[in-house]
Amino acid sequence: MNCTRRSFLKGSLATLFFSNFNIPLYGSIQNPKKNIVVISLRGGMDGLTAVPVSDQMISKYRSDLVLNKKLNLNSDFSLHPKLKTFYDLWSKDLASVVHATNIPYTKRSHFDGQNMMETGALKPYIEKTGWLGRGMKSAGLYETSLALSLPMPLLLRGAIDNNNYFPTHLQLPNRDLIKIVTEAYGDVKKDDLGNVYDVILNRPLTMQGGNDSLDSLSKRAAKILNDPLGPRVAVFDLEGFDTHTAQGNENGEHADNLQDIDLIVKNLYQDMGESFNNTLIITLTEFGRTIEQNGGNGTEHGYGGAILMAGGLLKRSQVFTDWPGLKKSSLFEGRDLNSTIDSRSIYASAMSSVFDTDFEKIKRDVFWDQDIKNYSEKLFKNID
Amino acid sequence: MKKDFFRKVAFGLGPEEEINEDPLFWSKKQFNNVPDFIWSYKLPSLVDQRKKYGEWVYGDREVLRKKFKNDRLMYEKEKDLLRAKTGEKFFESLELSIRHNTALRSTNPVFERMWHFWSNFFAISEKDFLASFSTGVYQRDVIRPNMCGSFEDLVYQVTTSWCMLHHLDNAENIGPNSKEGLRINNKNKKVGLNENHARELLELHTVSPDANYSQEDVINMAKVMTGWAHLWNKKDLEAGPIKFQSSFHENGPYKILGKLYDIKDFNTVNQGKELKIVIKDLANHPSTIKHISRKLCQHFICDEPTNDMIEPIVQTWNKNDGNLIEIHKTLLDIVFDFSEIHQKFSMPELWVLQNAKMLDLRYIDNYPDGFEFNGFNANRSQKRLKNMLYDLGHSIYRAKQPNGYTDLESEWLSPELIIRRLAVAKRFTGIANTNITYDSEFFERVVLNNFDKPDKLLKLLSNSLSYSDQFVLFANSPEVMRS
Repeated sequence: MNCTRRSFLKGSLATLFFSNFNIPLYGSIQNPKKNIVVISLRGGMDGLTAVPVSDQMISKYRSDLVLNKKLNLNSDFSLHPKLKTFYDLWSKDLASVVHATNIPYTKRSHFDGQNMMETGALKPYIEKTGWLGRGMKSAGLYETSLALSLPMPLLLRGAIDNNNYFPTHLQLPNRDLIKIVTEAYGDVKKDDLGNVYDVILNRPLTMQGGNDSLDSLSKRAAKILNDPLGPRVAVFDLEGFDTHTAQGNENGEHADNLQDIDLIVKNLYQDMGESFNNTLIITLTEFGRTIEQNGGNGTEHGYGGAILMAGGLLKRSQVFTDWPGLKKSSLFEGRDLNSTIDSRSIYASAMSSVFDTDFEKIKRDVFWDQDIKNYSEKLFKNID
Repeated sequence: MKKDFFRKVAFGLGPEEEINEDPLFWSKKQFNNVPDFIWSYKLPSLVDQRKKYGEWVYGDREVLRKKFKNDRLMYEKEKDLLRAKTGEKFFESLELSIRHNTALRSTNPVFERMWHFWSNFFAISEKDFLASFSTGVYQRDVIRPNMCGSFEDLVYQVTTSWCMLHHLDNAENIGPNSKEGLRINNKNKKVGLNENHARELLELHTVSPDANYSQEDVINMAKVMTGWAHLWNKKDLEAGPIKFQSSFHENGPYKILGKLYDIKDFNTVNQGKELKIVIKDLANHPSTIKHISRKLCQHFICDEPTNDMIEPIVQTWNKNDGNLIEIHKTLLDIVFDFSEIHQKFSMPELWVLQNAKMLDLRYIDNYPDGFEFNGFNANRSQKRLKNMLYDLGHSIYRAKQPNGYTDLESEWLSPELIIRRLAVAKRFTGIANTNITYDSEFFERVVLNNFDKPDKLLKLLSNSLSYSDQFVLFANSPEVMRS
């Protein structure tokens, strides 16, 4: 029923050809380059579908959504069968989960929630930059980000210069002409729009061609991230997690969405080779979903959920959680899985590890010295 | 002489158009009534399109999937035929053509801009097959006719329209204590409230989070909305007409934003009328008035409107009980007053329309004489507009979320999106008017006709080395990217 949902990803074979764009400007070479790939899951991923808990209570709340086939992680948790690659990586100590976590947002609006998951702030619409962008700035990274989406996500704003890539069949004007356009925005000091033309003028060759299927896009991302001079930060944007109706169990809409996550992980794992060992993939969503199914075999907007992580920068496989339980009295407002870990602690710890920057500095520069915890030691590999 | 004003509130002036001596008067008189579309062929109605939507969904889901469950190839082939027959690959292009033809040929272009604003304000995001069949006609048949009445009526019409109710899942919103709710739950199925539509009604369409509503308010709003859904039958599936169905309705009293709604006789004479009563309060709530006055300024003036822009609209709103004609007129006053101080970034579709108007680009004249839909897919030239908007990241009927497309500059500043402006402008040569010689004199005339400060733009255009360079430089100049 939701064939049109992904039409932004489907498309005819498309190529993008830029002549004279062979000036890679991606600067300071770090050896080895460490990458972070954030996958935004818009609409609210259901943590209990992605990573179900072994608890009899669950079938009382959501009998039509319970999974019969699951991939076992440990005695308490398992994995949705569509997360196959993720499961494979788990056995190699290359995948982990943070469970019962969320950003500190409890009001259940997509728009406010997505704004806060990207800004990292305690209120919606008060910050104009994203935590990832600020983190890069704090770590002194220049021109090292890449969004695999058409608009520039709020998440990346605040970095010195950003780039994004999304294939098109259209042909660009020649470089000289783009230069003239760029100069029209000022010689030395350009405004924000002028800066974008400037970035276009200096795009590397790897950001050409490909089509806009998720499969192709993620393979392309692997290639771009593999480039030692390429960006170290990539952001994917997936939509459609807002399953109010017909959510499904092993198969269905939420299952298809999880398969999209798995496809990205799979293509990065297969195509990045050695650099996958220096990479962290991490998901981000605005909230989890209600424990109880609603009238349409779907779920409503909830609170606590899960973060999926993969890549060689993880310390080991684990479900990292302070599990609050599913008893009615333990649920948030009697209806949602509670959040016992502020997701921002995970993201701050991840940035501190991947960007080799002191956690306290990230905490101060990115999260306004708010009360977040350092989990770097527990979750990620240390420097060297 | 505020030439820029014509781009700020409309699409600029065409090559043959005279500059009106009193732009403010010119713009205000466009709001006295709802103008007709500039379209000489049949306009599909919402009822037609709902029916086609139903034929498509039923034909695919109930007939073809079962008939060809073991023959994938035949299924795909038959599905394509069904697509053509129901116009699934046609109506989006048609609707966009109606929209653009009217915008570019109308003598009321300011009204058209305002229509585009409200259509995006009450956005139907990409869901199921709404974009293919009904979002365009929803904007024409539900939003447009209500643009000269009160805001309250506009919200009510939108809220009870088939498109919005379907879009926000209100058919799934069932009173757990209603007759049907109890019956279904007794059969050990679980039905209950679905807050989606209620939440967006509060958050996006009326009071906004500024009103500090609580989860309880949302739940009560959802209760009020129970029963508003399509009539279901086996053949029409979800495409049946909207009717308030009291057997799915959760009884009151309800408490929303501190006010108690205890409506008597709701099961007899007042069935479904609670919604209208609640919407009346929501639509006239101070938070709504502030929220929407701000949105209007943000769309037409600048990304961060100030109180001296917003306040006069709030006052007009209060004085005229939310009369949209008066609200629009006051907005035009404000845009006029502030037009020299602020520039507003043009969203991609507006940018196409402004370029098309000023340069007289032609991309819509591709419907044959006596045209009427007769079971075919859109042809290549009919699809051109739809593809152009897709390439620019602005598929009008396919917003990703119910809050529509943003008009904030920062949200559109991605290299890939700006690359598209360069590439699409290069292709403007292919849709140029063949009766016009696009030489430097022509561009000079266009610039002098449309810009209060033409010097920089003229200098930029003097760098053109080829015919197509002129289009690229013009369309990507700071002066045209913002207005």
